Amino acid sequence: MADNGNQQRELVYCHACASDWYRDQHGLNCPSCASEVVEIIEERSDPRRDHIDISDDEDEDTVMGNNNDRLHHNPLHRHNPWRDNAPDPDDPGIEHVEWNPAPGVHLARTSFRSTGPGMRPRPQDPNDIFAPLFQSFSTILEGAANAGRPPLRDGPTRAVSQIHRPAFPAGNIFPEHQHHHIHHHHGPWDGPQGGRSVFTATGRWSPNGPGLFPNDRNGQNVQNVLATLIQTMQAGIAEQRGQQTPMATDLPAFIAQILGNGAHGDAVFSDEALDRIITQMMEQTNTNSAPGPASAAAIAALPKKQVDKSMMGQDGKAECSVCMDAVEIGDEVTVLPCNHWFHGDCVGAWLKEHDTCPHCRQGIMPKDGPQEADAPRSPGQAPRHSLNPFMNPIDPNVNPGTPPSPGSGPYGINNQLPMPGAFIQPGMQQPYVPGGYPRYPEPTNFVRPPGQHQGPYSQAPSPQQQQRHRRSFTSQRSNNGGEGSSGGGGQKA
Amino acid sequence: MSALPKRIVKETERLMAEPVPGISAVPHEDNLRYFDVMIHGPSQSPYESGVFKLELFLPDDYPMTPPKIRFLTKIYHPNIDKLGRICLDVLKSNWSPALQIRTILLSIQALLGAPNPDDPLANDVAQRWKEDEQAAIQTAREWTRQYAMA
Repeated sequence: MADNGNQQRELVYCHACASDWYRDQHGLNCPSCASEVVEIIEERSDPRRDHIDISDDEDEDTVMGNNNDRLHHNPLHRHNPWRDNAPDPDDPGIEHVEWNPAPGVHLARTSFRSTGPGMRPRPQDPNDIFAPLFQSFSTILEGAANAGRPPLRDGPTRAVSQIHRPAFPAGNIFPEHQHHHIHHHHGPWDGPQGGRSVFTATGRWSPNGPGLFPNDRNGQNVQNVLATLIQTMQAGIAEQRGQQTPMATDLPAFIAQILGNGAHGDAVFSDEALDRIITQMMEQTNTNSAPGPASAAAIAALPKKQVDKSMMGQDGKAECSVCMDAVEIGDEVTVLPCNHWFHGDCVGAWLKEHDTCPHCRQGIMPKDGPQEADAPRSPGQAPRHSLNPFMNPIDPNVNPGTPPSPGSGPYGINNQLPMPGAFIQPGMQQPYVPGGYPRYPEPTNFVRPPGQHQGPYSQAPSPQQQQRHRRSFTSQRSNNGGEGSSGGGGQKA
Repeated sequence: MSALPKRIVKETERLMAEPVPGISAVPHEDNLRYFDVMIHGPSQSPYESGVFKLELFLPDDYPMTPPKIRFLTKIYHPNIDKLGRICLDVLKSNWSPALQIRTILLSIQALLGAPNPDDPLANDVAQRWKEDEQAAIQTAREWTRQYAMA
């Protein structure tokens, strides 16, 4: 493209007060009004003309098509030093975008194309926290615009006019063109690349400054989104600037950064958030595979009894292993068919979720036949299990616990970790017999180490494993020796 | 936030008073439901001499629901995935309110000593564990040395 302006001094134009100046004299901030909404004037795109074009509020295609005619109405067109070389005042090389995402917040972005070696692309200012913001918002806005909701307000009260660029044909006549476009579908990433471009993004927070009028009502939705994002960001702005920390530049990371957790509503913006959701789903799935609840009637029908001396541990203590509160002689407890006992409220809260004894996993619901599986015991029906453990016949149909799952491996660990209470306890010589009646089960609150499994579900570990685990857990066992008798609670010694 | 249930207070007190050798669980001061956990790799396992960090959280309805536990230290194990999530039945469907932080951590330590590639969480690891156990164990050792030794 035309490079004959290479040696020209760069002229900067202020969109706020319409003044212009040389960049090497006053830099990129307006010397008149201190605005940062500025643009470097190039031969191919003079914002001074753009300004007028926009104010005419004409259809853009018309503007473009009748460009030469319209120049007559531009009082500044005669002052354009590059007029003869500027066949296309609507050059896409400059993009200026701005909006007020929230009251008191004004954002503007100007991007301009460099056409020659005389103008070095300005590296993105690491302090410019708005650059990624703009990129992200632009993407959001693009989607919003395509959905038929003009994201940018356009009103006569605006202090700074908005440059609304027309769409360009696919065969871009500006091969170096790399504009940052927010209104049209062919964005900066699908056009021909190779040209150098410079983006300037500025932002301003001012409580009562100009250009802070309510946004277009049609853009309300977008405004809300942006306002949320901005509010989230505001807290971190000062810190970001102070530390000169560049923000994430890719959209997902950026969104995740400002949203905090990477998820917003149903949308997920980061791998971490996705993993979190997967974790949640896994947990739900796993919970669903647990036994279902016992019926309220069955829970209510569970026998109660007063704790007597025979139910206390060797040290004269016992506790409910659900709440871990001490149980004293005379307290009322609820006894499950497996004869494990707990506070009524404690075990009731569990059984209404899962029909398993917290100690041995035996259910309380009748399981005699499929047709009765879900039927609670009627109040008049004789209890299936007497209160007296010594008299209680074993119901062969009652599943004493969770059977080993088919997928479990040879280690007896994953799906078959024995429950507390399913082991020989200190001072107790009788093992828990699978399928049999646990006459003197004494639950404990520690899991028997692997390698010493004598529980119903584990296969015999290899001698190597036994040795390994014995070594690992020997000291632990001795430490817990006293705890077994008092800590497990719920049963007598 | 409601008061900490007595059970959690008791469990924490007992964990402090009678720590399990090779395992530590320390609640955060500002969130007594959140524990920093360290588990020593079982001897004669590929994780021997490694110290593995985990995080443990007791949900609101604990002990009616299991604690949430995750490895923070990278570990090569067929039942632990790349995010540290653990495939252990008692943490999921086989949870019981009679289980405790202490028992769960012992179970996890036991799992380190007895990997189960037939019930994998990390499929690629489990596959390798089944196809070439020696190589997998060697990798587990290397990871332990690389990530779990200070």
